[in-house]
Amino acid sequence: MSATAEHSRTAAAPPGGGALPLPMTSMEQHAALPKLSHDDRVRFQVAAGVNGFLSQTLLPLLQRAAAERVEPRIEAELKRPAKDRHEYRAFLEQDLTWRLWSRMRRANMESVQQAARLAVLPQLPDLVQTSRELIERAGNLQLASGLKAPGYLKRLHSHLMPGGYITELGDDDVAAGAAYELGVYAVLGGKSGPASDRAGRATVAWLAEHRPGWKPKRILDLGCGIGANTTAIARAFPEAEIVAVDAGAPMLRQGAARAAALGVDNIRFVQGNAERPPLGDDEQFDLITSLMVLHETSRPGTRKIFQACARHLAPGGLTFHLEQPPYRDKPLLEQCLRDWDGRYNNEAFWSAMHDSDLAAQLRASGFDDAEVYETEANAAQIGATKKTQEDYGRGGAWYVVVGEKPRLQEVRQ
Amino acid sequence: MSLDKRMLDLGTEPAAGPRPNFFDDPAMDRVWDVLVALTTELAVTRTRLDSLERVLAEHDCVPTDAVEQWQADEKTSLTQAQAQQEMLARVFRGLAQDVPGKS
Repeated sequence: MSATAEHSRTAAAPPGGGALPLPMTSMEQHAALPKLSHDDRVRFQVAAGVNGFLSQTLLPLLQRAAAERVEPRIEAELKRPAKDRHEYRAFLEQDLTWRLWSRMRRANMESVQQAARLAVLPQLPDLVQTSRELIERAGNLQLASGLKAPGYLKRLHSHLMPGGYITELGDDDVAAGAAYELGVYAVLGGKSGPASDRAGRATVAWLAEHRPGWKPKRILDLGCGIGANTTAIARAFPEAEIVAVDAGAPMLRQGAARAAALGVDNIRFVQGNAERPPLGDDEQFDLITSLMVLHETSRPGTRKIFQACARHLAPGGLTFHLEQPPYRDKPLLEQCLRDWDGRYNNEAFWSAMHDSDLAAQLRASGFDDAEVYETEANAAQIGATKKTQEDYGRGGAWYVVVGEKPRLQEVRQ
Repeated sequence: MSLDKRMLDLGTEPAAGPRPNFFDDPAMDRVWDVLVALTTELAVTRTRLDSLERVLAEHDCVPTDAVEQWQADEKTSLTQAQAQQEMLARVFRGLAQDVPGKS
């Protein structure tokens, strides 16, 4: 089966018009993937179906409730429209439809995380053994024992994943990475493709359009997690040498084992803090990416990540940071919907990041002589997502900040 | 496969961070937690029954682990997903029918 045919597959449309969640068996299979029982496979598919109900059926009702109940109440009480999303949300949170939508969304997310963990834990010894063997053979993992990970990764477990990215349950633990691999596929109902890599493929598609024929020789991916998107980039540039950095050892072990099992041999997974990547001072890369990572770090953290990009980006190189779009200019209801993850899904820096000007931050972090601009990448362009009801914050319509360093001769001129 | 208590406790650990309630009475939040989980499990059970019926039809005699060994092909899986949608439409009827401005 060719990768292209596999990736272009989307679910048949149900009567309601939305896409059906793909079965867990549509995941790209590999030796490091946890095995799922019949009921676990269905449990994940139903959870994706619940998310489908929330976005396809309940969200339109919530939008209607906002127009017909919430906004008139704001007008009646304030004698003016709400001035910002905080004021708007105080009224929205009183509305029954918002409460039901939020409660079900939160409950379903917690269910998915529990299901992933309960699927992984009983087979953890086997998963650990498999990943050990794969990593030992591939030699593609470099851990830093005693790495001081950012404290917020301990205090707040992103998107309700118990233990977060860094907790280790035993020696050579892969539980967090294995559970993440299942959970991310289930939450998106397979919309991210069999390899859960649509952001990586959208990045490749963007590069092909904006730098046709460009073949970066060295690539750095910051905050790689289990490297699903990194692997898409590695497959697109098989001759490139790729360094993938993340703080979480269980995530990196799963990533390294996964890449090895998939036969992707040009990624080196390196444990480190993306704010201070464990690289030599003079190490240079042609392409530096962060894909859905900046919302997981603070504003000072983002600045340090950008400064690291400035240090390690080669002349003529390009840095590419993909995220959900900023809130500015969005209607207040949409801002509240997009901000749900920041408030109720343990995304600590989600709200602050979406309120900030990433392009200005990049420019001020050592890219003053570079071309810095905002652009878009879209999963629909790579056939990964059909255009359905926008599921704010989960859709494949991304905002990208790019920095392009001038070539050496341009610097001299 | 049944999980022992230690495994269930470990698997049920909550994520670190705040636990928001959305209703005035937190009991309502808990009821909804149970309803979402119950709905999921019922859908799992119905799908298992559907799988079992298919397995029975495919086998002359049925080994005890036949369903576990059986795996839906993509077409079947999408058919099952369709049935799951139907179940969700029934269970969440009260929400879908509560159209703002109509009551």
